[in-house]
Amino acid sequence: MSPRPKNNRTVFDPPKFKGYKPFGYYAGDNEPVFLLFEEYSALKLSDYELMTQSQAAQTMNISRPTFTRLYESARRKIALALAEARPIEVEKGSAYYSNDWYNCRACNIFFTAPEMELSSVRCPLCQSKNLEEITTN
Amino acid sequence: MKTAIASQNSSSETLIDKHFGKCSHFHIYDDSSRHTEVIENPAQGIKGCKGDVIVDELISKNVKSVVAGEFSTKVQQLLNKNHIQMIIHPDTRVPVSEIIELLNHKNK
Repeated sequence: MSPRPKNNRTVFDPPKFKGYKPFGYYAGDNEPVFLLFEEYSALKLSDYELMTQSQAAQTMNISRPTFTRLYESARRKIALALAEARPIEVEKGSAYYSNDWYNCRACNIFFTAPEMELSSVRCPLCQSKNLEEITTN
Repeated sequence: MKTAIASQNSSSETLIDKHFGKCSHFHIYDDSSRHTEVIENPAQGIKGCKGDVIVDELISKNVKSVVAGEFSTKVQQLLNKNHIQMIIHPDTRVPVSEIIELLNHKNK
């Protein structure tokens, strides 16, 4: 019997980095640790925005035990990366963005474009059309 | 269209603030009249979630877009619900005047 498919986890603003790299003597070509969007989001809600686990679970539209598992997994991955001097790469998991975000490659800002057609979206500051759409829907 | 920029103080040479909720002032720029209004953060001194107070104030001023270094999840939910555009500027060493300059160019 196949396992039950994972529900999408709602995440908000995208991480402002693609990954992290250690520097120093041991920082060679170690295999990267892959941190999922939703794991980054769980860590941010809990340890940066200081929400309780049940508030954070509600925000991400998941059950509290699922949130605890995600949070635990994020902490373990970061500990692994630090202990073994491995780079961290952020990758898509079962995350669902609450709204569409765009990254302007010209001026490196992130923005939303509510009530706008995809074809008419431009960077609100530099007017560039060189955009990366950050969406996992 | 009005754009609110979270700033570190009321001067025109101030920098963008990293946190939307904890900033000291908002510079509200109206691109049709090219006028900038500076207001104090209405949620200063409030403990806990400041998002409701700020977003209500910005809606009453007909703001359609906001710029800051970071938005908390609760604020994002509120802005999203009210169809207000969020602009995250990760480099907070940029003066507010530079953002206003860029918004000005938009009309040219």
